Amino acid sequence: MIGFLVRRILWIPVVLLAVTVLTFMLSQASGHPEAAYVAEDAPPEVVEQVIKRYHLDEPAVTQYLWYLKNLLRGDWGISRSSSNLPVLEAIKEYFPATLEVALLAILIAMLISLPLGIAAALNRNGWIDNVTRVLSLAGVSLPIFVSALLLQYFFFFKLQQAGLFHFPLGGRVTLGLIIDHPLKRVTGMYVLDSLLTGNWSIFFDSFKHLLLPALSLGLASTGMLTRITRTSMLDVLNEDYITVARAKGLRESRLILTHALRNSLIPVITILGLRLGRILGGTVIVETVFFFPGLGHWAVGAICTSDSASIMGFVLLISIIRSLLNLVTDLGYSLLDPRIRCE
Amino acid sequence: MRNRALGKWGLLVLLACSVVLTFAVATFGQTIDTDATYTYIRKAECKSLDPHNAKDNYSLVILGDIFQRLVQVDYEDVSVLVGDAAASWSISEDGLNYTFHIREGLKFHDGSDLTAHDVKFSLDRMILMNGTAGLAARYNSVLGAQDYISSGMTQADADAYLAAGGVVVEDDYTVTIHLLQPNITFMNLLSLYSDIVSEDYVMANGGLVPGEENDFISRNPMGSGPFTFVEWVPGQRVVLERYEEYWEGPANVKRVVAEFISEASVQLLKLRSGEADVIDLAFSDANQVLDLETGESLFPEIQVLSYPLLRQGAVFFNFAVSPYDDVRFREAISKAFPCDLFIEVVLYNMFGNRINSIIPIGMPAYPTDIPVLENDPAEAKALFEAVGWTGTLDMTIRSNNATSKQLALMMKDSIEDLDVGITVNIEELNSSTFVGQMRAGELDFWNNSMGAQSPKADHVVDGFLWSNGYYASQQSFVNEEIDALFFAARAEQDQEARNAMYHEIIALANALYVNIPLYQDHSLAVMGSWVGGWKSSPLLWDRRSYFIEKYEQ
Repeated sequence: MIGFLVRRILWIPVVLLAVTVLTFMLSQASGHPEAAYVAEDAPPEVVEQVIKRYHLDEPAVTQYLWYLKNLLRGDWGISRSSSNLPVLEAIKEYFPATLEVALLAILIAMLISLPLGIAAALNRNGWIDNVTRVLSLAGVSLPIFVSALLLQYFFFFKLQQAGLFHFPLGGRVTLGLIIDHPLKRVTGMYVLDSLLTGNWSIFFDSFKHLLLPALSLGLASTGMLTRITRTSMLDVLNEDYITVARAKGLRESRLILTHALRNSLIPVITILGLRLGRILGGTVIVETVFFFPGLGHWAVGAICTSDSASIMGFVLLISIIRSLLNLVTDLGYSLLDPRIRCE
Repeated sequence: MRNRALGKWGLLVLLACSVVLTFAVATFGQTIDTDATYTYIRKAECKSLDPHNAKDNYSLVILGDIFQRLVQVDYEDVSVLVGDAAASWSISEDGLNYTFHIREGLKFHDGSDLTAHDVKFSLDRMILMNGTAGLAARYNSVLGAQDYISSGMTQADADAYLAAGGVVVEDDYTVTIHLLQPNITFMNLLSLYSDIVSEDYVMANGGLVPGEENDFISRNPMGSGPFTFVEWVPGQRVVLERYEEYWEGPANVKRVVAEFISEASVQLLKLRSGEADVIDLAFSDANQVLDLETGESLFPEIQVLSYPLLRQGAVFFNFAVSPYDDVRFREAISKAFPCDLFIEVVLYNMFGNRINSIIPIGMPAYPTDIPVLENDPAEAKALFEAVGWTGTLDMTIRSNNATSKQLALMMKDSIEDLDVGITVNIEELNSSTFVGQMRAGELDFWNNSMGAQSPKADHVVDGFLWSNGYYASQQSFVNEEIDALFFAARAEQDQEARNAMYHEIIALANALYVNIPLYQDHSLAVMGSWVGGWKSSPLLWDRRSYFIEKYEQ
């Protein structure tokens, strides 16, 4: 187990190094990285100074080594597309918003897919199973941006048109409200911070803003999770120990909840860990549609302005998170099922 | 709002009428809400709130609310400058010494006095910092500045600059700027980039290191303008609050919020719901708020203004690349392009007017009697055939500019329709790559629109036609006759004589087809009917929020 852990941990820097090489090579493709640093009509002297300051006139390998050295020192560069913040500062600013959406999305996905998957398994080939199958297929097939736009259309436009309670079109919080009720930063996650500081106006408002982006991200994972829950549950229900328990007269509800469910969740949890990584990647689209100021929104802005430091920072961060999530998933898998040994 | 056929004065009268009529309707019989928050949405976020290292419009509009400059543009007539922090000023006869008398009693937002020492510190700081916005180079006529900018910017270089005595404090409320050579645009420069920071505040927060930018100041500005800085939430908003002690009296709104949202439809929804007061739409999105046939607003709660800017769109060539080095080829391209149709179809005759020169309408030096470059497909075809070049032209545009894209498509069609063996390939680049390639002289054929810094033609000729100017050097364009006229005009104190020289320069440039000046941009201001006090400045660098009024609904 420890050997496995050490090996997995040692692989992470290798993966990250490969990511930095790839992103650095791509950043060189634009040809004029200095243009992102200076004003459009900046005089040649200023352009020269920027080129020298950031070693842009040196060979690509030397530039990469400078980049790597700075990276290790905690200097990830300057995010020119985001008010000239250092990239790490920008990540600190935007990441809590993305984490908030991603966590709620995974919660929504679980709350929808687990009951549906179990119900489908228990009613195998019945109408619930068939309906679930169709819904899962739709969930897997529907691109995130389509579900996001549909949610906006129904829960903002249509409800607003009908004069009913409606969700906000986008953003993170109502502007007038946060100005009148300033939120003290604790974690950077508005819902959590407002809860911790008892700022109830912001709590309800930020939760309202969070729901549609999280729902559209969560729905994208629901289809697959429902199918996996169903399959896993069916496998477990066909196990001998379930037949024995049923023969001994154990109540069906107890049988399902205490004996079958726990074991059927092992593959589901594995997938959940991996989905969280995908959900973080999916925020690029959702945050753009809902103009939600998180990492994805920041990354799109960086791409549109050739802000290579921010793009490389974003890709590196997502790589770190996914590497860690994979590690945690593998470990969690072996902990949940002692029969599985990590080798 | 149709103004294509109007001349200079017609355009200006139209502008005045549109503004006056709109606000006469909007303001009649309404009560101003002095506790209101004024929210305006911008398409992009400001880059820096350090006034000595910011040059983008998104930052400058916010900085105009926070800081005072020595002088500012008069909104009624942009060719006139009025005092801001400076109560009065005098210029020596040789044009080398500018003495400013600072208003007494001005206070920064922290309560400290604004004195001549702060003015000197601010100007010196702009030069010594020499930030990436490139503002220091604009002050290269200040004594000692050019040597410093060209140096390694060490502490010794900074000391040498300070010893040169470019900016001298005469007493607590008098400061003199000494120039190396006369510069007729120097006062205009001060109206744009002379924001005054508190020396004590800067020195207590990161100080002044030669050649280094100050991150703290860029995120925590403190000035003496009508609004104090409250917060900047990256990616979301900047919030300002009314400064009650402002020397001209407190502003009409209590709070100003600049919100950053790129999506036009979202901006419009926010405006219609009253969450925003003014939004930032591009012409390509104008159909969301305007009936493009009548020019009327589609919504009763929304008012729309369009007014000409000192900003022009043109097509450029790289003279170092064949076939653009042949004047007949450039002339053929000019004659092939149906500019009137472009203004009618793409700019709806509302968002742009035809110009005959790279000097736009509204500048005193605008050459009224020079004809526009006419569309003549038959002659264009004859010229292309006379040159005999066939192949593919690469036209480069910015990917985020819908107008530019439409222009390129129309250019492609108009040339290819002549059937002379020439095809046009349109290459879209994002803005920074476009600028990087343009600066490096790697573009062959491109279109761009650029705003003037002041109503002085000197700025335009400097950038576009002087051989070492910003755009001309990217085009590898060199013309000694134009250069000589440019420097003669710069030294000429008589306005009439100067204008005659600019006229000669434009005639030469048009004959050579240095570039193809096509249209003058208009600004689109979209706001709620409850908003008044909007000031329309053709320079775009306006201080808007101080004048804004919001009416109780």
